[in-house]
Amino acid sequence: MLRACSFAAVACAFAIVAMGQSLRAQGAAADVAALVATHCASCHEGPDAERGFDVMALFAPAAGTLAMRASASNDSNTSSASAGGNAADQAATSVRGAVDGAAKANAVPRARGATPPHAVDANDAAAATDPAAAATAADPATQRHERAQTALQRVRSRTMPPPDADEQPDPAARAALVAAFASLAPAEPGARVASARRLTRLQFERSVRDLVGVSWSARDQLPEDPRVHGFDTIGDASGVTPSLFEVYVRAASAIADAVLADPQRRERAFPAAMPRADAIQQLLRRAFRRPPHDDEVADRVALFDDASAATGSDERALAAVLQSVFASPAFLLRTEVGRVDAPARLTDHELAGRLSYLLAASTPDDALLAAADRGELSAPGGLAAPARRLLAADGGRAFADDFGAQWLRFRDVLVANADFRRYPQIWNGALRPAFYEEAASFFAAVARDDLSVLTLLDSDFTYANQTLAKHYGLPPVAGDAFVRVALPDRRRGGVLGMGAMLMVASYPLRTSPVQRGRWILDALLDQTPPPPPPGVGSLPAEDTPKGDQSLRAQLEHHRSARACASCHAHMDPLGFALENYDVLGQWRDELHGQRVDAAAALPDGGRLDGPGALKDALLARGDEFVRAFAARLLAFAIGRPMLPADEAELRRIVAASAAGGHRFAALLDAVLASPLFVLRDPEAR
Amino acid sequence: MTQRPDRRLFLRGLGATMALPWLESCSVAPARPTAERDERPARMVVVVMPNGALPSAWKPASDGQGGYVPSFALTPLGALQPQVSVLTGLANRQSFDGDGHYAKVAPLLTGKKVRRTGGRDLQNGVSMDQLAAQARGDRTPLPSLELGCDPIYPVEDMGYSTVYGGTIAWSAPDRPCTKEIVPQRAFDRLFRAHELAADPVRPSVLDVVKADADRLRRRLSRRDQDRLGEYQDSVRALERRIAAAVANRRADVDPAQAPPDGVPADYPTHVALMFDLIALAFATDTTRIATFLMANEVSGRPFGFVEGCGGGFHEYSHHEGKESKQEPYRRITRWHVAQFATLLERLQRVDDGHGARLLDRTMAVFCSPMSDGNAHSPHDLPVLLAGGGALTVPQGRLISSPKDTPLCRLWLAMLQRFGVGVDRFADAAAPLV
Repeated sequence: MLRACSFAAVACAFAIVAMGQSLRAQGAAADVAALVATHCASCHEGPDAERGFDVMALFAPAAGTLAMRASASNDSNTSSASAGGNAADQAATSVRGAVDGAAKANAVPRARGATPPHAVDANDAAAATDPAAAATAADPATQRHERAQTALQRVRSRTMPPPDADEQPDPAARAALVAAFASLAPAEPGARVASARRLTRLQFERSVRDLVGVSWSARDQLPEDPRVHGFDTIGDASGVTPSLFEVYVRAASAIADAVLADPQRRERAFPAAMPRADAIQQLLRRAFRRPPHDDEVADRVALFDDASAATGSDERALAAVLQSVFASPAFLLRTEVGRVDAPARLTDHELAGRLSYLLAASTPDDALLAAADRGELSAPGGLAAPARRLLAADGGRAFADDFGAQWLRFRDVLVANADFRRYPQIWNGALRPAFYEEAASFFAAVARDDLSVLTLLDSDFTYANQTLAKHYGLPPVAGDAFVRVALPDRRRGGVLGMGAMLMVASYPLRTSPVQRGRWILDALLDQTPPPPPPGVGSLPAEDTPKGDQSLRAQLEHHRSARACASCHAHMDPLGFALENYDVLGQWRDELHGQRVDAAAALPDGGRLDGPGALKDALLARGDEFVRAFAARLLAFAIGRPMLPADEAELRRIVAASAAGGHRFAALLDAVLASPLFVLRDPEAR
Repeated sequence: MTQRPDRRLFLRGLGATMALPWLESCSVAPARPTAERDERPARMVVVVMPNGALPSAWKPASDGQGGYVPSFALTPLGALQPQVSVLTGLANRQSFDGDGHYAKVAPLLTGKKVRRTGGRDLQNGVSMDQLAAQARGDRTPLPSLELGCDPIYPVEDMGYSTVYGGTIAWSAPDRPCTKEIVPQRAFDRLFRAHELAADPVRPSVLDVVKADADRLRRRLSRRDQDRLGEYQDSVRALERRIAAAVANRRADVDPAQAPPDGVPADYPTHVALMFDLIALAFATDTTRIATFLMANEVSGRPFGFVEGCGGGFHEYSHHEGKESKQEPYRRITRWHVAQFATLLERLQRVDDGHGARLLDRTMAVFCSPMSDGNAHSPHDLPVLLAGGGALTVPQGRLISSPKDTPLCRLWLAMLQRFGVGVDRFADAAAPLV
């Protein structure tokens, strides 16, 4: 497969030699060079590289620096450089140093929202004040980082080398390649710090309810929260716009009125026996999730006095104070500034916020704030006991309704659709809520009862009510309440056999092996396949055979294109294994008079047939699933996606979870103790 | 929200007379400029149809005298044709690559390339309407109005945030303007802002939260300071709105005439209400700038209310050359043009306060971010330029430009006529007309 283009070959040979020489100084690091040469270079070298993607060029610029660094670190590193992962880390570190320098030189602070001067072209002016805009186009360092990240994802998701390549890296080699690419894609400075984020609708509603006992339905008033990387809690995506702020101001008014109209709520917000300044201090401490600053309190005391004088009504004045709390950025935005003495570390109160919004989808309660006041949360392991308490308080339900429902996407089933002519069962309005309830109860049980997280992949029980048991063909369950039921066989059990997930990844008229396979790769393995290249066709909306071609045959045909195959060879077999479930998750043995074919070949030569085999295959990749769980949990909790620089820490979390038998508490404790969770900036360790 | 006694009547009226759901029943006095210094202000509105149009159904033939013979899609213009020009050959060069939809609609009014991102770091330019609002929006109670019909479910698709697919107005390169999709809430924003001022303590409350923001901002990282900056800008925008609402309260719009709450179940009604709101906003000089994204890009909305169009819009747009899909595709395009024509009719019937038709002082554009949806073609976009007779806008012409002439030259022409002092806009160095 090597191309004979002389220039490219010479350039590449030089790059490989340079890299090889410099890396060889580090012993096993040379393995990485060899791995790259073996698995990537045949297609991704030189100016004619496949899809213009020259992997060798990613390493080449670092070569000079590498040689120096490698010789400097020679003595200390040679002895330990043997096993795949470690060696990869070390090779990676030195490669990274060189590229890092380039990145820092290129990192220019980004100006936002500057009002453009009107006398000139506003957009060019905006671009001029916004280096990020200019940088997107052609900055080679940025491009190199993006490419290294792409390479990492492709290698980790096993879509590169292509499944039909002659030689595939073994798991250790793959891990070494991933680490090498991870090191080439260093985070921009500050990229591992989550940004300020607005409370989501759910968090807003629940915080208001828990603070003052008022139910204000944010769902009817506020727009859908942006979901990035699968979650609505990711910073950067959720800002305050003028129209949104107007809604918040109206909400603050309505909430204030509701508090004052009810003697109990009023007493809780402003205890009659408490001096006003103290009452305000206490209210702010709870609403702002931290001790308020003196001037925050003083401003509101003054607001009360002014408003009382202006309106002649203490009632109106109290309303003004409440409005100023619920419309304040200190309530609406979750900001993390870190400790005064160590800004890279979160304060105890910031930890309380992270923990509470992770597990309770709400503001920290009094007990948690008290623990934060005492400094207990930042002590080693200090989050474990409060976490147990929060999960026990509602049986893990808020955690399931917020994190679980977004991670596994069962939240989407409530708005999913099926064609009612083809699937008349959809008329039963109780069906989709039942799908949701099954998944949420099941997920909450794993957390609450401290089961192995692998239970999510396979279990001998689920939760059902009358509607759902009938729909699945399970032994009858009486009533509308959901109860734990033992399963007679492996057709159900685990999230793969749940109507919610099966429906969410289907089309209205037919199942989609592609969507279902994609869902498994994305949610369960965190190996999100890249989007299809532009201009590819789409499959029909229905699964009725076209001529003599079944939908499956059409799908297999479109997969014959090499560009499609690298991803679809991974996605589609996983989805085919679920073909026995129809759009609404009911079991079927036949489709259009043909026996359902739930068998498919995996790219590694293995074979899947039906959901049981699929579950076994995923259980065999248990570590990858646990890594995916941890990665998604952290992204949701800290408000930013995981980056290549976080890989090493994720590996440690998976190891700690394995040591605890992958019980939920073991995984959660490892996450809560991780620098990724307790530090504001893990970079600054 | 209390049930108003006229609500039921209102709904019944909608069912009976689809074409004139609302404006007729509102008592609209002749338009009245808000500020003395703008005796006869200009208005501008851009209406965007997603999913493109079939060129053979769209492009009109020349009539040999600078005008055109209406194509199938343009027949609904009818008697309005002398006031509507058809522009051909325009394109937005920054949308030539990227995906089929998202990377084309978001830059339509900005002329900038959008960054491929799932949403963490959106990057576009400032849209022409927002540039106009930033320059001259302070002359009306509401600087600009952004309308749509579909909520955005902000997720990632094809590597792009769906926010791109549902947002044409951008106040800064990283700030998409939230469009209003509920007619009643748009009405509230337009005509009930004075109620925000009804609470005498509100200015003091806003002072306190501004002080919170100032204090918080000082302690934050640069990136978070930007977020706080958005918050602070939002507070200031509300303060300005309250002040303007108090100063310019319109006695001639009765808040009780608000359209029904919620998103109308039926799409034609929804669209008609939005056009009513634009007409009413212009007529009362509550704002002079509006954008309306009739549906988010990649809209798969079924068009069962148009004969023979029971399937989804997006699906028809990928017609694969098949007549069975092209016919519904052209009919759906024609339906959109017909709705736009109703806006023109409404503006035509309203007096601008000086005995002239409001349409003559309004530049109204209808366009789509692609031509043939089957190929996601970014060339030769469907563009209509209507009204503006008193603003030297050429009318009733077929204005053919060389291939890929920057669409931004049209935006530049409109900005200049609107009174914004720019001599360039994105890739446009000279106005088109």
